[in-house]
Amino acid sequence: MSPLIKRLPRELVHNIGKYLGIFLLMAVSIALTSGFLLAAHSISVIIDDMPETYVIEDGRFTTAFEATDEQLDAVRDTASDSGGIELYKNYSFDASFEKTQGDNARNCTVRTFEHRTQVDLAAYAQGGEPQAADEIAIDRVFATNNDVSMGDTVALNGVEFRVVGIMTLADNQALFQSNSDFTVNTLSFGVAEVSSEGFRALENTGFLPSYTYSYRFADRDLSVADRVDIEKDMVSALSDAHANVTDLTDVDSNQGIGYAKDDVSGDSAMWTTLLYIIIVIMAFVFVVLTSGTIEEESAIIGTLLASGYRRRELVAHYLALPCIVGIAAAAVGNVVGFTLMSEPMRNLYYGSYSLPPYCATWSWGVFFQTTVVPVAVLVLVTLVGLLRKMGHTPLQFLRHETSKGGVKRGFALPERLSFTARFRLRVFLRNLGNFATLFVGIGFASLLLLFSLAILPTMSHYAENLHNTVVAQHQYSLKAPLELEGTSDEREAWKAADTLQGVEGARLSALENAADDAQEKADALKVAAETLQVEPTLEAMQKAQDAQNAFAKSQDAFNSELDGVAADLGATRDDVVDMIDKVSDLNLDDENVHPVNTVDNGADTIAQAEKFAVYTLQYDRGEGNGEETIAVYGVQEGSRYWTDMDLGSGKAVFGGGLVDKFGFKQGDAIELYDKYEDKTHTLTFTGDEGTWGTKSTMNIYMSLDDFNAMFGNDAAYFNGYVSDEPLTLDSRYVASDLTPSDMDAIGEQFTGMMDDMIGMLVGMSVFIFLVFMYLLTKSVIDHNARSISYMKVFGYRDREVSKLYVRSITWCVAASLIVCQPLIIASLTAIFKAMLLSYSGNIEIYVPLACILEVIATGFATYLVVALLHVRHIKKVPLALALKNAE
Amino acid sequence: MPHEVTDVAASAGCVLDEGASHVNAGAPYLVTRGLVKGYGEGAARMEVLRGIDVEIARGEICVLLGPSGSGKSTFLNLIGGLEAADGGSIEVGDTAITTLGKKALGEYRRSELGFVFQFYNLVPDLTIRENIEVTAHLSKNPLPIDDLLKSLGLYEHRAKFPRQVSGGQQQRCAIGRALVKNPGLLLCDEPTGALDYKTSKEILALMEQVNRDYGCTIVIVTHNDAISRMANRVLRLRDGVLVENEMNAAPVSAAELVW
Repeated sequence: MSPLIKRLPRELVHNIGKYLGIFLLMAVSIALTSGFLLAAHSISVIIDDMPETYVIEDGRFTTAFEATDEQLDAVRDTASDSGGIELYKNYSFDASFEKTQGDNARNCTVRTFEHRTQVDLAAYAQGGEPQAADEIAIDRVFATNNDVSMGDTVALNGVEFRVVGIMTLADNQALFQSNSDFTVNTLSFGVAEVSSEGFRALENTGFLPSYTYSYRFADRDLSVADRVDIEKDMVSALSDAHANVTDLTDVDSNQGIGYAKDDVSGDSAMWTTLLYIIIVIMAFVFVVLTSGTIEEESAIIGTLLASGYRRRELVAHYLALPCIVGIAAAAVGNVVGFTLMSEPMRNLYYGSYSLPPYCATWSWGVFFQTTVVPVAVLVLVTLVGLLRKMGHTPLQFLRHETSKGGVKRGFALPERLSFTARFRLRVFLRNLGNFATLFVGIGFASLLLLFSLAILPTMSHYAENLHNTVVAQHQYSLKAPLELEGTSDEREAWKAADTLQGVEGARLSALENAADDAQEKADALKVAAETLQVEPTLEAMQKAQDAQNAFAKSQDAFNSELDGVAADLGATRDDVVDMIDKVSDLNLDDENVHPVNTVDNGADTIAQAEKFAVYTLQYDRGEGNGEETIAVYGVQEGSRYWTDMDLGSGKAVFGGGLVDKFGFKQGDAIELYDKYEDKTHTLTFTGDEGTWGTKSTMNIYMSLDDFNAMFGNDAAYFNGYVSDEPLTLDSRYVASDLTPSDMDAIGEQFTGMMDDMIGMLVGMSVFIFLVFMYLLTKSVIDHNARSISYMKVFGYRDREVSKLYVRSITWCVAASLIVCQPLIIASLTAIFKAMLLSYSGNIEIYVPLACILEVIATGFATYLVVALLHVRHIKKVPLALALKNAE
Repeated sequence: MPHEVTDVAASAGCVLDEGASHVNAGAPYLVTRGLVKGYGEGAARMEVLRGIDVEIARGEICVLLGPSGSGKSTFLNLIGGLEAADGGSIEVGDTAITTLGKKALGEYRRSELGFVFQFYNLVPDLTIRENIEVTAHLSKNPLPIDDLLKSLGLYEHRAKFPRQVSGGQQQRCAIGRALVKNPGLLLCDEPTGALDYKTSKEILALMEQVNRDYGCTIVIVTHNDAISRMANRVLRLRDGVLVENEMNAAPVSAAELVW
């Protein structure tokens, strides 16, 4: 064993601050990463297990109105050649939620399902399934965020339920109110299950459920391509069977099911990358510090090489401490990560996602990623730096010709600069390597800090943009066109039709049959009576009598059916007859004739409301980043809500977010795919004139006429209203009511989600600032210790020496902090764009000036602490150093 | 090609005593022929050595004199394999140095050479003993370190760090570091250049003893003419040319040197 090894513990003790700083930074980074990756791995294992354990659906479709048996059979037929398909009713209410005790700080919506036993099963964290009519099991994350506990009483659409279970629904691991939302909403949106009786109670409130049907293919090994083909056929079959399909979501594109896993996986990649960046920077720090040592020990190295030492023996010697520090940091970091950090990291996800109970799972992959790889990266980068530095001849070492310091020192500086300025400049030039690494370190720490500080303003800005995207106080989406204007007779007639819709289908059919039968019998009686009149025979009389009896019988049957319907509706027979009479005036076969809202909202309100139509298409993001769901709006030309938009003549106007996210250029033909109709539509982007809204507006707009022409709708088709005044609309037609305040929840949601993470990132950034600044600037002081000693011998006071050296460093740190900001913002924007390409929506990185100033101030404040240490350090440089022999 | 330790040194474990010269009058040990070395290109080129022919016998103390810029250190560097000659040849023992590659030169230095420099170049955070161990580690058959420390007068200081001892003691340590691997050839570049008169004489006496006890060939580069009196051979360089190559018929002991 080389006797040089005896230097290592002494060097370690002598420079304990340097090695401790590097060790701590590495150990903390590795601890955080290993803790995170272990939690992420364990969560991935749990999620991977869910499809079978909790019978997750293969997809779902929603129809505007309840699908008939024939329509569902048509769906089943599409998969008959592929092993068949099982359909499950998965109806739900988006019910308004209220706690009967405590605060109701938010307006919350809870998507409530009838307890499911065959598909998308619940995993209970507490309690169990709802059994009685007044029992409810509620989502864990929503319950936590809204202080709902077991035994609490809550009201859904005014119906009270007692919480008997806190659970997770397999199809709502991530709480997305709409599948096209950018992020989860765990604050004002939740999911719940009630018993069958409880669900009936909700139906009795007058609201209609969302008619969603989940499906699972019998063939569990069906390829994605085959599955997609069948799904297309399903939509066609439903359309052919006159069902109005409002949504079809395959399991792979269901954010409620897939988002948590994608997020965990994306975050894992981000954490690992951050760790490796820190390790690479640490390796550069080692290279810089070791290079300084090599320069200092140049003559010794030359002597040892001249004495027969091999280069690799010396490289191994200088590599030993980085290796030891790296291995120790990896070992300690992993122990701390696996034992202490996994739990807090798990909470980062369990606070945002509704997942089954956590169970930590060991992973050799994580261990490898956080132990072997960081040490290997550290050693490799340091080794390359060392080999480069040691690539000199013994003589060059003996002559101190190993650095370009001589060249830098010899660089002529203009004499008009003061001595102090030239001196400081020379300190800078002599230590260029240190300052370059310091710049990278400051840049990286600033990036982390700026990201931490800017994420909330960015999300608030995003929420504000979304807020502005909702152009009216209410944006009502309809399941089918519903006219606001109409006469009172028309309203009465449609009200009657609406009321009759509430009667059970079979009973209505029976009434219709009875009516037909009565009509038939009436016709027969008329014929018999006429015959009797012409031929008053006994036979004719008998026939007329029989017809009379048959008619009376059929009328009784009709009346009986009428009474049944009346009983269902809680009305009289005359009321029902009146309703039927009114409905008979309606032309139900003309698709251009739309139902009229049964409530008159008043002329003024109706006048300010505006029709629009919306339909979703898919845009391929490219490079395997999946598809963006884009809402295409048909709006009225000269709209009072969508202002400053030049529409008509086939023109399409693109949201600013689309243009920014996908970089559309003027004249680009944009292909949009209609997954329900299996058609591709091509729209041309016309540049700035054809751009509207903020960088978060992800819609495409065209005139309502162009919209209907493009999608082959009837000329009068529409499926929504925008209105600044609230509208009272027939509930069975209303799909949703979007208000600007719904968008504010996003900002609040992000604050909640990011709070812990931001604290951690800010702490980490300050720590990185501290370590890099201390190590690299201390190295500058150390390299100049002899010169500092000379200065003291010459008569300089400590304060004057500090001014010369520390101020040089101060200027460099300040300049680095300021210069790196634009680079950081550009990097952050690029990173954000790349990161968000596979997510829905577009977020513009928004960095207020205050954030930049805060980063600079934090960095500089950290440096001041370091500078104080340096001033003390300079005081301690002994005069004797100048008197020692040195070549 | 490890050098054979003299019987006295081997048996007495480095006890230095008076004795006859160890110059081997047989085949020369170090031979240079037409050694040429220059620096720079074109008009800026400067010829530092212009065809040096030298033969040095095994066990000789050879003092190389000359003013600054005469090519002394370059000559030493070429022999030590630290630089490559532009022309001519160098043979040390059976090895033609000028034909060796980088790796073989390293092995040559490892097994055959000991270096002593003007500025001792000790490892500051190793003790005196450990500094000597550093090169002992390179040899399969190093001299006993404690005995060497005693003979160098450093035994009492063995646990001290270089900064805790005098310049003379540091140079003794540097000589010990060069000797411990029992080299055939000891190359000393201005070994007394940084030392005072008294210490310089002590160091020269030590070298004399080393030569006597271990029989190693010593080449000393110096400005100091007085030192030539203790040499078996005196070489003098001027402007890269060997202007003197004399055998000293009656070398004096280092103690008798005066300057």
